[in-house]
Amino acid sequence: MWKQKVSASIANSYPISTPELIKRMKEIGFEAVAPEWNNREGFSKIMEAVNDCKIEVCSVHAPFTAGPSLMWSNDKETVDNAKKTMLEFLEDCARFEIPVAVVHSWEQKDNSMPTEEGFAPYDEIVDFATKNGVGIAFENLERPEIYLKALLDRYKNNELVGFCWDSGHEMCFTPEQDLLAQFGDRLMMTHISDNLGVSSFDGTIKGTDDLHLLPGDGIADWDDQIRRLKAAKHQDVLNLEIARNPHKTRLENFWHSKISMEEYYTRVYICACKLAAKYIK
Amino acid sequence: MWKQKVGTSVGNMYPIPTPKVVKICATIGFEAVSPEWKTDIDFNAIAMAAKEIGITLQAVHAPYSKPADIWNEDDEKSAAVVNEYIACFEDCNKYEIPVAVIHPWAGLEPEPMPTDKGFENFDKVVEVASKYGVQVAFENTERQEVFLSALMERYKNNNTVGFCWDRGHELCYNKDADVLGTYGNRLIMTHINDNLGISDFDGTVSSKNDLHLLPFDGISDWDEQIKRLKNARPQEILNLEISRRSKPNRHENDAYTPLTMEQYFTECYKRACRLAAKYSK
Repeated sequence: MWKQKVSASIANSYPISTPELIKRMKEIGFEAVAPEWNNREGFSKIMEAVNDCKIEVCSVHAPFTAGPSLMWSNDKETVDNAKKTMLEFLEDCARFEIPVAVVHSWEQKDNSMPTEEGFAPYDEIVDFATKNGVGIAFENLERPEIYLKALLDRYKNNELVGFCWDSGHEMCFTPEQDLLAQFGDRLMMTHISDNLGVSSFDGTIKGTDDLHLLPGDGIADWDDQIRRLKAAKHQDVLNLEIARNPHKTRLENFWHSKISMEEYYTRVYICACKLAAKYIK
Repeated sequence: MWKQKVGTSVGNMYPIPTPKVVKICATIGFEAVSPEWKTDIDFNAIAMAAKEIGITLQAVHAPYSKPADIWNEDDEKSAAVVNEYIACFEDCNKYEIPVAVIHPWAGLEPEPMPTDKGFENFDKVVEVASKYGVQVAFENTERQEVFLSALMERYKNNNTVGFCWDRGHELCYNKDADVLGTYGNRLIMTHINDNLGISDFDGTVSSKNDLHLLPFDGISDWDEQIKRLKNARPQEILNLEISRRSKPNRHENDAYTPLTMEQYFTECYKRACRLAAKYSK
């Protein structure tokens, strides 16, 4: 969009192939995409499509098979396997000159705490990424006041380590924390989406509240969200992370699956532009 | 929803039985439902479904096919209405439903005016309701400046009588008069819905405009409506009263009709949460 680039996260489980989707997103008007990495072969095809249609990649999401519960595990073999996957992923990021890799910081509701031993695999992947010019953006999920903070503190002097703000996660997992205020000076990437907040009247946090609705379909005040974003580090690209069908037990996204991918991502694009227009004022 | 409960009115004209609809609403996340009471339905099945699934029965809508007859000098006609209300209150007592919503009037002709007979009938209705532990919520319908006004004045010192605010009626029947401002201190129930106001350029009021659209699908400014609601008596539950079907020869609600009941009430829930989020700020 004029004066502000917009992007959308894309997964690998659509009715059409991700490379095909990328071409359509370029036609729709997105300046960038933020794909997920599953494996080398799949990612090569994605990057081929990216290069063919000359769209940017603003970030790539680390594989969920190397998620934080595995990386922080007490079991050495589990950690080694997750780390191996993560390093393969980062090698691809380096090979294809991806500027930012998004990595989940923590994703459980529990009472565990980070340990010095637990940081070891992260030290390794951060070191590798930094040497190869790949930024790592740690994303907020559950317990950011512990794990996200610990990771950002540990690498506070590393300009290639920063924060990926997921607006939806903030709303439904940590509604009383202002993560943009805390970490916005290190903002490297955005996962913008909406949801209905915490559904339980007693305040119980549930994973199924993470709806990834289009901005405007949920309860977020987008004037306020944009105000908060503008107070954080400037973003060349605003990226939306919307889901077509995130939870089988919830229907709030039902209409996303009823329309074609073109129409769906066009609606995502429209939302992105509306936010971008507010952002650049 | 966290910090603010949301409810929905449910009717008896769905493609599936109302008890099933009640359970769907609970599964979706509503904390309360408000069913319609009629003499020819199995109200026990509805109430039992609510109790089984653990959803609150916030209120019932008393029969409203001929509410104006209570003002009729013909005893047979008025007694029929009074007796229906009493039977409704008996069920409210049986199933511990605290509020019964009653239409003070129906009809747009400028005559008649309230009658002594009608007041006597309402005295009896209010007395019986009180005996059964039920609060009567008089709803703003047509000619609210005459009939609602008269009843609210007559029972102004009676704690078992309150006000049900129907936003849609306020907009299309009451010409957007500030009925909530007038009776908000006695607010005990809400029928929140939207419409397109008065469609005729010359301002002719008509029932064809009472669309009961989902909030945000009509012309109401919901920031303003929530501001008004917050100036009224606090509501533990915000209740929506929406219609799936369009008025005769109109199509504004057509988009809702092909949805499954789960999808339709999920969309209702989303809108309810959006309002609740504003209300609870």
